[in-house]
Amino acid sequence: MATTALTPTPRPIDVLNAEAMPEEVSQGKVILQRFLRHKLAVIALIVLATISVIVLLAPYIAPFKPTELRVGNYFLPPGSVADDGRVHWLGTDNIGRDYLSRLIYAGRISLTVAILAQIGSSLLGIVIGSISGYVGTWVDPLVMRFVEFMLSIPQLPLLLIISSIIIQYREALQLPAPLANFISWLLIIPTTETTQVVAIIGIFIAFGWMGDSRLMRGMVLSLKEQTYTEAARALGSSHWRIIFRHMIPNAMAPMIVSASLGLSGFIIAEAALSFLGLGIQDPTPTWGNMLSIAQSSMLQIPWLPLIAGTPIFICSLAFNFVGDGVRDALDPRLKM
Amino acid sequence: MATQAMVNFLIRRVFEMAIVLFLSALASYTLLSFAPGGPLSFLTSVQIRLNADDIARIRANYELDLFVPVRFTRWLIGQPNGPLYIGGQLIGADVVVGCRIPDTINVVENGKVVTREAGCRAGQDVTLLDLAADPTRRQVRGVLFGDFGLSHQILRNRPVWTLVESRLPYTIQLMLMSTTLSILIGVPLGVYSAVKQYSIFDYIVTTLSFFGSSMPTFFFGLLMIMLFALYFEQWNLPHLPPGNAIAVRDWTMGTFMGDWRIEAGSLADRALHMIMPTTVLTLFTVAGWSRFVRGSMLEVLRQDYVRTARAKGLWERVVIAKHALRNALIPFVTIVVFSIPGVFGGAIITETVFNWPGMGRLYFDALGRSDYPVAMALLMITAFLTVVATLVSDILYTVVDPRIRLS
Repeated sequence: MATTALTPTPRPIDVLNAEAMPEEVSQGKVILQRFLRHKLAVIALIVLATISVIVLLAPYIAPFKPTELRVGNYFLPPGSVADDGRVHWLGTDNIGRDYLSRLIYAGRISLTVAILAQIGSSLLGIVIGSISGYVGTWVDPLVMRFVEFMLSIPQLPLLLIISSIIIQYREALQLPAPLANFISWLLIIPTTETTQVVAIIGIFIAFGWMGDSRLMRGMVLSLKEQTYTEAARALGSSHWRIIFRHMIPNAMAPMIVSASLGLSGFIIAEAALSFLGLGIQDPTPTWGNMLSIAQSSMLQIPWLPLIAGTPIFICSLAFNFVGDGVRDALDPRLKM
Repeated sequence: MATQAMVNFLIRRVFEMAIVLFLSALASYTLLSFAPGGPLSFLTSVQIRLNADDIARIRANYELDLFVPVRFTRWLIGQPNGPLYIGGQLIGADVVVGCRIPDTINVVENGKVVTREAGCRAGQDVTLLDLAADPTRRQVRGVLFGDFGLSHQILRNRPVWTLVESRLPYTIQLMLMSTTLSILIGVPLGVYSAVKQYSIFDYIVTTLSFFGSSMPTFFFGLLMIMLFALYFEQWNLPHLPPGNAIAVRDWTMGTFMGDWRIEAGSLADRALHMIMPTTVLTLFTVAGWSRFVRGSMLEVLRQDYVRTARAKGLWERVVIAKHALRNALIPFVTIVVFSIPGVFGGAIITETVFNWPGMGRLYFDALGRSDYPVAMALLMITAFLTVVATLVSDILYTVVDPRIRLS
């Protein structure tokens, strides 16, 4: 650009043969490059992508149906062949269901629960945090006091109570048919089993939004002082427009980082609840309740917990690494 | 001046703490009163024939015949205990506070006949006078005055506090051990990897701490049981007991030097039982704490006074230990204090995996067996410790760092 300004006779720029200037690198490319520099994060992302593909193609990959059981085939060793020639690659469980197939279907449920819970609590946190920070006046202290209250009560014990109540009442609770059908189609489980899945996601959201709302509020408070917010207000933008078009997009980076680091926590939380028998209940497979069954049959098959627990560990580790990579890429200042 | 500010701060905080505790008590009590199960469901499930009088008696014994708000205030402060007695006159003797035998009606719901409670059977109201006059009714003092009520299931009709008291030593034992170990391991790891930032050691510690914090405690616990208890026994190596705090009977541990006989309840027995749960809890805490210490150490090492100390020609060891570490540990102190409430809440999973007879296990059992007074007591103890720990860590902040003012 500078050269064209200096030349006395302006000539048309030869777009096709122009050399790319270094500053033309887009923001997205910079972020991608920073992420790719984090080798472990890239590996973790590949692992997660592989797991997601396996889990999405569950009906085509898994040799058996998750609830398909053969009486008498209890605790078959890995590699046993069923009557119809299909192979139990990882053996069978305590009532003769194929272990590998259950692991695959369980992954579909466990991952969905974690992802939906994270999306839900991030959204709730963003909405509550931005309203609280933007409105200020009496709303802000009230909301923040409530957040402090929620954070100062012991979480796990309360979570256990609520989920134990919901589990005992799950027959009585009913989801709206379209939601039940959607979840049932998404997770390949009977519609009668969808209530508990939605309930668990709901509990996680109810207990998971506080951190995000604090983060969002902090961002909004600092963004409120920025000149572009002032400009938007001077131009007559409505409050909602300022919140949704200026505040939220500008606060996105830390929120994405927090969400990607939070996923690992939800994977573990879901597994822990199901492991304690207060999460998603048995015929529906999740990694947590499979681990719980594996624990009770440890005397027969000591290595069973290793198989049921490894996916939990791998996913939680991978989400942590990806989250770390995303933080390095999006917001390097946050790094400790 | 400073003390005045401190006193004001303390008064305000204690007041806030009381509100938080009250609200969380109210919330948990309400939740638990909606929870199904309870002492009656157990009796009906074992198919004992109960007539209406039996049911009324049992309900009265556990105060289930009182309305929830009345039950809550009686649980909290031991009131109302009966009608007021002012100037020789009973006030409010006829106020209805509960119902001995609720009336039931059958409703058709979704094509099924469901029995619902609806109103009270005539003449079966419980009045305030009944509360005071009935000799079989337990006189309650309320949680505020140290009365946590009676256990419904786990130790039927015994005070909840007896149960808590019997489990407390085990939890404290486990927690003291793992907290001490975590500090002893976590702090040096964090400091060393901060001082040698980007070295191989730092890289390994950081990666391992990622693994540690990604590893679910229940999975790690099961893996340890699998290897050190089950497989080691099969392979005739010295193995550890898979669970519990004390063996029921004497056991033998195969070692390279012949069989060792371990007496049940001996020090060796207790120590061997503690190894696995302590390791699991320690690993998890060390992962978090070493990362925290590393972060805060890196921050401090960048400060001007550290450069000044080095410029003065002090030994690097003195700079690290005296100038940097002391300041880096300020925020860490609060983290450690804040982990105290975890004594009760946080160990639920670990204690369940290892069948450790502590408070976390007790809470889990209480939920599983619908023993809500026990669950309520543990919830309140945890909530109390949490708010106290928050206060203590706030105060400690100002003690270790005079620049921070309480406000």
